[in-house]
Amino acid sequence: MSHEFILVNWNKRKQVYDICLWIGIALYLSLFVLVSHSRFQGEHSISSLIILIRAFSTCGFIMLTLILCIGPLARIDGRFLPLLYNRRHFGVSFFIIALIHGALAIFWYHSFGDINPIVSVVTSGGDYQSFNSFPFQLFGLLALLIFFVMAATSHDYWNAVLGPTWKTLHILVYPGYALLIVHIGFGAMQEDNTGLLPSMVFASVILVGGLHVYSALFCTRANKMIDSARNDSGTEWVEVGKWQEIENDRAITVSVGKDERVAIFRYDENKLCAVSNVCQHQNGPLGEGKVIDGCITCPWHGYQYRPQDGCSPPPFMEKIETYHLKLQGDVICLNPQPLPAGTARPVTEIPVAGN
Amino acid sequence: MNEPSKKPFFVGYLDMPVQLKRFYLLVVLLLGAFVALAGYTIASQQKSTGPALWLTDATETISGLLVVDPYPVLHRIDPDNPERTESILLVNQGKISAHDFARPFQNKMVSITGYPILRGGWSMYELASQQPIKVDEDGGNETLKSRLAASAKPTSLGAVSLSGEVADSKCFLGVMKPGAGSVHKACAEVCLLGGIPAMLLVQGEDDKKYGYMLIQSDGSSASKLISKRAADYLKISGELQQRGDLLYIKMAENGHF
Ligand code: HEM
Ligand code: HEM
Ligand code: FES
Repeated sequence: MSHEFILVNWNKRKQVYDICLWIGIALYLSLFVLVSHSRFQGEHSISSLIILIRAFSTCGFIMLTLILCIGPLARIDGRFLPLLYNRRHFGVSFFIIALIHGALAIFWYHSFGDINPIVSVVTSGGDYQSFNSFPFQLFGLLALLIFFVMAATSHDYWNAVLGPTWKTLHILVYPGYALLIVHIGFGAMQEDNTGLLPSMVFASVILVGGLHVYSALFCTRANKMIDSARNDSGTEWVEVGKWQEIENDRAITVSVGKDERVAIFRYDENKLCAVSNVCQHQNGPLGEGKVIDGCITCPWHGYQYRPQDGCSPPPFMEKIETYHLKLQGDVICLNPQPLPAGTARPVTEIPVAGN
Repeated sequence: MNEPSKKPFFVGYLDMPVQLKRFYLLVVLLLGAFVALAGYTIASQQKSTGPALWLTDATETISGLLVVDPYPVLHRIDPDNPERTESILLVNQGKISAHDFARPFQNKMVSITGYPILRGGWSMYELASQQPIKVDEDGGNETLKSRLAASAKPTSLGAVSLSGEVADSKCFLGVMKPGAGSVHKACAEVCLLGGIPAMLLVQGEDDKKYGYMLIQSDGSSASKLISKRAADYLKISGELQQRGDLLYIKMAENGHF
């Protein structure tokens, strides 16, 4: 595998994305602080620091909810895909907001005493047997540690070095989300009697859960499962479907065996090719990409591969695995045995008469 | 089949197709409206924790008789009603008791400089950083001193058993708003560990909250002892005492908590 370390450049689109993101964050925080100070004044004021702690915490929770929605949304409607490409900026911004919340809470609630504030977070406020005095802050701290690891390894460099481990790390966002729900449920929700906080958490869980379930059930799109046992001699051909099912310059994705996925593209109207579905950059789903300027283009950050041999055009060095295809009438047959990354094989052409 | 694809496709370095641009304009507007609505609603639903003040703009100075144990308290004549005496709790800055500062001035007539913390009929002073306690020059008026000393002496009001929330008096009386409740538990624990006077907050039949200072069966501060139970709702039995205008519960030896 060529894990050449190449930066995806900062482009205008990313700047627009980040600007929108931070305007949204600033809008939320300033509105929260302004409303809190104007509603609760004088004798009835709420401590300024507590207002900030709450502003950042709820902002972070809303951000995490949105982050978790982007994935399934993009599967449900391809127009959301561009949000996915810069999700890491969203993730890192979320981490910064959550970190400020945690730091302010530790500063305000655990400092100024006879005890080390960090020790206090871990030892104080705790009785696991009790509903009322459950140590909810510890759960916030654990969640924050998870998000820290994710943010710290977010750079392309770590992505390349960690490989599949990085992907596993990313799945930790779900346990992190669960820890936060415990953090809020046993913490601030205990004191809330307007029902707004429970509604916020409930709405978030329903939205995130609902979108994930919906996209998993109904949005496998052109994907197909091929269960046939792999034949090591590479002679067993499996039928994939009719070539007419594939739009020009687009692909369908088929699963072969347990975790291998193959993208089958049609391009130049009558040419077919099969490559690994996994982009060498950040494992983006190539089957959701498009052939642009004669190259398969990853939907995530636009890495490109030539259909004929799975190599990135020079000067790039990425290579993906390729597969043999053949046509039986209108039906495409795939040899599920992958060829080494970057191997050229004959292009399968659809006879013009069949068009 | 051969028409141009309707599925939009877009990579960061390419120009965004027009229909996607419109779509994103809509998404951004909707999200912006949602963010504004959420910020406004969540901020508005917070609760006031009732009238309380922590006057941090300028120090004030008051004089009276200083008693250190079980908790540092300044007993003085009520400026609004000379018939009455008033008891003012004293705490240090941060989450630390005023015991160490006050000890040398035990049972002396003094002037205290600090920041008032006020809730309901309660008052507390957070000591200023510079020379917060000074012995009164004239040594104090002896009749005044003995009147205050008499009022500061514990008077037993009989056995009680009361249920309520264990709180640290400093935060609850106005330094943190909110300064009680389960969310505040960890902070209350740090305060009590630092010796801030422990209080039991009891919901009266008239729905108002009443506060009782908690002390150990030997008459000393109960703050550290009870710190692990901060913010918990406990039933506490013992002897009810009055010192000045403050009520104390001297917790029974095996006080139920
Ligand atoms: C070191 C880690 C953390 C600590 C010590 C901590 C502490 C706290 C405290 C003390 C509160 C109660 C605030 C109040 O209402 O007065 C709180 C509430 C909350 N925290 Fe955290 N937290 C931590 C991490 C996080 C993280 C990573 C998030 C993710 C966004 C988060 C989200 C929330 C939310 C949504 C609330 C409820 C807000 C409200 O009070 O209305 N916390 N946290
Ligand atoms: C900070 C560096 C980050 C980078 C480079 C990054 C980038 C990515 C990329 C490329 C994906 C898709 C890859 C895949 O699904 O395996 C992804 C998925 C995801 N990211 Fe991040 N992200 C970062 C941080 C975060 C943070 C801090 C969060 C939230 C706490 C987050 C939340 C997610 C979620 C929920 C997914 C979907 C995981 C899945 O379904 O597999 N990311 N991220
Ligand atoms: S994952 Fe980044 S370009 Fe494919």
